[in-house]
Amino acid sequence: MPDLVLLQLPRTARASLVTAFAGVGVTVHLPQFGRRATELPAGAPVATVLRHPIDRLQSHFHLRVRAGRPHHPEMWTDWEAAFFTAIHTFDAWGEAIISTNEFLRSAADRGLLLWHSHERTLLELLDQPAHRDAFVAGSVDDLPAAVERLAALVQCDVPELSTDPAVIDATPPTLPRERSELAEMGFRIRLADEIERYETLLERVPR
Amino acid sequence: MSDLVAAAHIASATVARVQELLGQRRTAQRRGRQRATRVEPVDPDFVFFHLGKTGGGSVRQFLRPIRTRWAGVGHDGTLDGIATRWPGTPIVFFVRDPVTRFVSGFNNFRRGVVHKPLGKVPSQIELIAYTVFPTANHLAEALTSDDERMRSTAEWAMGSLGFLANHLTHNLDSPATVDRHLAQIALIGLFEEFADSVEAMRSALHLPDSLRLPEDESRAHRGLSHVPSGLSPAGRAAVAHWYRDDIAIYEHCCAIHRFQMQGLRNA
Repeated sequence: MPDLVLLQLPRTARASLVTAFAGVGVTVHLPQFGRRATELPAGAPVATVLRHPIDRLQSHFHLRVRAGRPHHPEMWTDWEAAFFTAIHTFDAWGEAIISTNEFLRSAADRGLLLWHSHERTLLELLDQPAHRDAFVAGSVDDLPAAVERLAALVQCDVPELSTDPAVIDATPPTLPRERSELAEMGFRIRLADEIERYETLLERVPR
Repeated sequence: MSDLVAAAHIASATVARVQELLGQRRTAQRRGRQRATRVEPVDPDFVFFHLGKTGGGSVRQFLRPIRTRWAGVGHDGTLDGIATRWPGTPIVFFVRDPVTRFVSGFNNFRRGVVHKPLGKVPSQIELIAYTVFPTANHLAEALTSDDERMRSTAEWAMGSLGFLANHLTHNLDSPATVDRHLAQIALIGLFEEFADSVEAMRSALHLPDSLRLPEDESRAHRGLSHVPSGLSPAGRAAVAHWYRDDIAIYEHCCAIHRFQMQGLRNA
């Protein structure tokens, strides 16, 4: 069975990719951060599929605001309870980042700090020497195209993406996808380095 | 002049209140020291298993005059653990309808403010939970809220607030576990029939007639009459669903209680 090493941050369609490629006989390895490249199968192609940092943050916020329900229920930590008591919506978080209210600004900043320590950042992706030349297959915004590129890399059939809600774990429609301009501005300011990294990495996607 | 008199009255009342609070604090500290130095009997006549919010505070007060004859096990104990530690020693415990126990457990926080103003302070968890949910019914209804954030907050509170997170399934495990230790269980008391249950305990364990339940509200850990304790039908249903496994054990214990009471009446 061919191997594929995928360097994926959380909330970047990991389960969908693993399930899809398992369906065409490819073993996907999802190394944890800090794991040495030598522990991975030698010679296996190393690739990644990216997601815009603000979209990923929004997806994570909406996963945790519903405490992982319905597919991955995991009760809040005390910190999350405190955070969600102060910050009710994703827009409120982004707007709090540039708020003149010091309390809200502090809560928003602390939220970002803790979120980055748990969910990692794009700045850490491909930081190991062995991973620097990883194949960038595309973005989750066009997942079918990224899957086609990965299949070409591994030289396997193009797999179909799962429609199982438990695999996709999409944000429920009850939680808003749209973002206010003010919130977008707040996140763009705070995540500027990560967004720049995302855009630079995307330039490596084959045309 | 009248302003001066009013100010003097207020100052006098404040001084009296501070002295009262300091007195309560000294009492709490003295009781803490007594608890810390208390020695459990090596071979107790019986074990009192104190399940949270089931009248256990009153029962402990009731049993205080014979403190050297029994062993107490607190809220975090288990029936299996007691039976292993004291094999063959009679066990007594009280149970309570999990839904009313939830209300009492929620309102317990206020007891700290009313009865032990300087002896107990709210934890961070309590501060967050009680800021979001001013009453037990607010928390109960939020368990089925369409608002994901409120529902998550409710689930977190249920899993984090001391008495609410302490399930009967932790203490008693299951109806089958209760049955397995039935020969050792001298009595299961019902909070809902508290006075009768205490008298049954007196009879089952041959306790002296001189033992009396406490009258004092604080010592008896009774609920506070001015605190909201009602649940809406939706709130009640949500709490009953949350504690569905506990309710199965509670109902099983109620059946055993009725059987035991009948046996004591016939004896």
